[in-house]
Amino acid sequence: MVNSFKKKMLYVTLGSLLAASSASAKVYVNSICHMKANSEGRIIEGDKSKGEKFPLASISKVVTALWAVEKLGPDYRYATKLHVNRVSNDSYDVHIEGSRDPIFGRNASYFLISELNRAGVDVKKIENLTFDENFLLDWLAEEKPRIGGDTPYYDTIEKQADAVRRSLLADFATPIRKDMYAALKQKADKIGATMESDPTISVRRVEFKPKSQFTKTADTTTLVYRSAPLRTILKRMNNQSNNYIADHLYWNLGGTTEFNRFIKSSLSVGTDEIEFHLGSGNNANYIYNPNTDIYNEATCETMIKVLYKLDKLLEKSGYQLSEVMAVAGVDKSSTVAGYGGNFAGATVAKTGSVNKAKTLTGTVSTKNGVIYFAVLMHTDNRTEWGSASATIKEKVNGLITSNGGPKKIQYDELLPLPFDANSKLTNAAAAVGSKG
Amino acid sequence: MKIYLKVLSILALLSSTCLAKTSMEKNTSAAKVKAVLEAAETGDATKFNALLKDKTIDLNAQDETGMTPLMSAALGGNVDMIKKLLAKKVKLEIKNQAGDTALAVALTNDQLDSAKTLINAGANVDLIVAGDNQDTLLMRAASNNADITGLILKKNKSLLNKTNKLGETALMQSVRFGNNDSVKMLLKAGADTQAKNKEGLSALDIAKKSGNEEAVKLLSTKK
Repeated sequence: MVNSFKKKMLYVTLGSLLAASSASAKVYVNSICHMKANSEGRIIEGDKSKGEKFPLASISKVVTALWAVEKLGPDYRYATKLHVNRVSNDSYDVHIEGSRDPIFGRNASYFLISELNRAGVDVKKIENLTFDENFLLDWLAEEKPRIGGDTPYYDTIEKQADAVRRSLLADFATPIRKDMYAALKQKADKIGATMESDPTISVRRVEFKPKSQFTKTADTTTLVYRSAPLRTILKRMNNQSNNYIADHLYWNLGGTTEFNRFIKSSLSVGTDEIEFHLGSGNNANYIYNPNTDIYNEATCETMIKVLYKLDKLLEKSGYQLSEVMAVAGVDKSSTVAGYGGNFAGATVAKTGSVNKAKTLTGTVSTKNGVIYFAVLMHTDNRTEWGSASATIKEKVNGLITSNGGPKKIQYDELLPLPFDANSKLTNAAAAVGSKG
Repeated sequence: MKIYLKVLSILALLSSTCLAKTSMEKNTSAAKVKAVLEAAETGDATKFNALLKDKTIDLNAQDETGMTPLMSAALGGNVDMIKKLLAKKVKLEIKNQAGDTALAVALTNDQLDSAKTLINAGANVDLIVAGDNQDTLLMRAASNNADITGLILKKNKSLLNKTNKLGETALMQSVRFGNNDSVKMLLKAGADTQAKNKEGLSALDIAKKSGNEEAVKLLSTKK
């Protein structure tokens, strides 16, 4: 009896030890890889799992950024048209011909209202406001919960139009929030995009009018609002890790079918190396199947190829990775704002977190040169993110210190708004031939 | 006999109804807690404020991983929500499955404003955070952010020279991660420069090994 008791105690002790070790084993490096920017032959170094697919979480947004830059160019601006017809002395009918601008929310709306109030435009009273299927207004486009939450997905144009209509009525057509407008105006002033002091807008009716049903008249004036350039939108997306922007970019570019064509032609890889369902890296189960997790996955090596390609593409146009991705410790409204010490000012990176994974990818600038890196950590749930983050930082810090230490990059904090000094409403006729 | 059977069947029906009701109540309750956690993490103010008014929701409830609304708000960096929860007097020191409190969740997930709010609200700073090395909260702060390092020391200076499983101190970690503002702060607070980790390395050795020239200077003059 004593022996059987001792046996039981032994099993219990062994069991607890195994449980304890498996508890910490839930958090582990799935794969880690890096490539020196000056590597001849572009050798990607890493562990034996660098060629295994793994959930990317939000570092997916770097891939989405590459796709957007490749397809549209870093200087691309979304051109939303306002077709204006005077109906009385001081009121107008306005039809919005959308451009699928993926960042049209409160900030862009406040800027547009300011522009409509500007002398020379003077549209403060709208009798009938109509919009087409390419106008994607979401008031919270740059705000929570859109940033880290599920991007609303509409499977019919009618449902999308209904959502836009409700937002136009409940948000666009209601009094401006003075505190938020003032804060935006202050930021806009810093980038040379002056805004009116106290704009107003009144809207009597709002309706959806498909593109095919709208026709201009001889009296129609067409005004064009151009978004900030794509590279600025991408910067905002990556700084915030904004799911809404990423998912709309992905859908706008053609979704998964077109994405699979893109990876083949641009990166010479197939779905065995990278598989996407959403632009953001968020769990796509809310769209496809609530009973299972559906994450974007890719190999560590593929992420290095993506970073390298994005870097070179931007370089061709005279831009840096830091203009589309966050700089640690410098970009204060970013997910890497709190990365101090060796990271600050020397690491350009994108973070990622889903239940099953904690990830980081980007570049470190060291005294031995720039190094592209990716770290993909396995976790079981979000209670393990902190521990995973610590391991990621250890690894990346090790990369920095084993290459002579950090070397800060030349970078002044950018202020990515959805519009800029070149976004002012222009007459379409005058705007023909003007560059974005 | 017939009456007996009838009574039994009525009793069976009653008890299954009660069980079903209890199970439904539990499911509804769990669903509500999940909703609060999600709203708190994603920053959905509309949903969060509405759920906060629901008196049937226990704001200290934990999901299956031990996360509370306060932890979720901290994880999401939603300071306004943290303040609203604190105003409802939620418990600060509940631990999740990994063994972390809301403050540890905030700090280890780089939500520095959340961490500051919780420290100022009186959260315990004498913590070992989740992870194999059993780092202290001060260590994690010191490797990353001097402001939080200072806040923690102000609350509890006795944490200054505490070590982790590898025999490392906050000073060693701040040196290794190149956070020289933290190094200066810790030295000013009287950090032990002579301590050695389990590999026999002092903070100065680590500074030399990691090429942290500024820390080498700071530590050499401190001797």
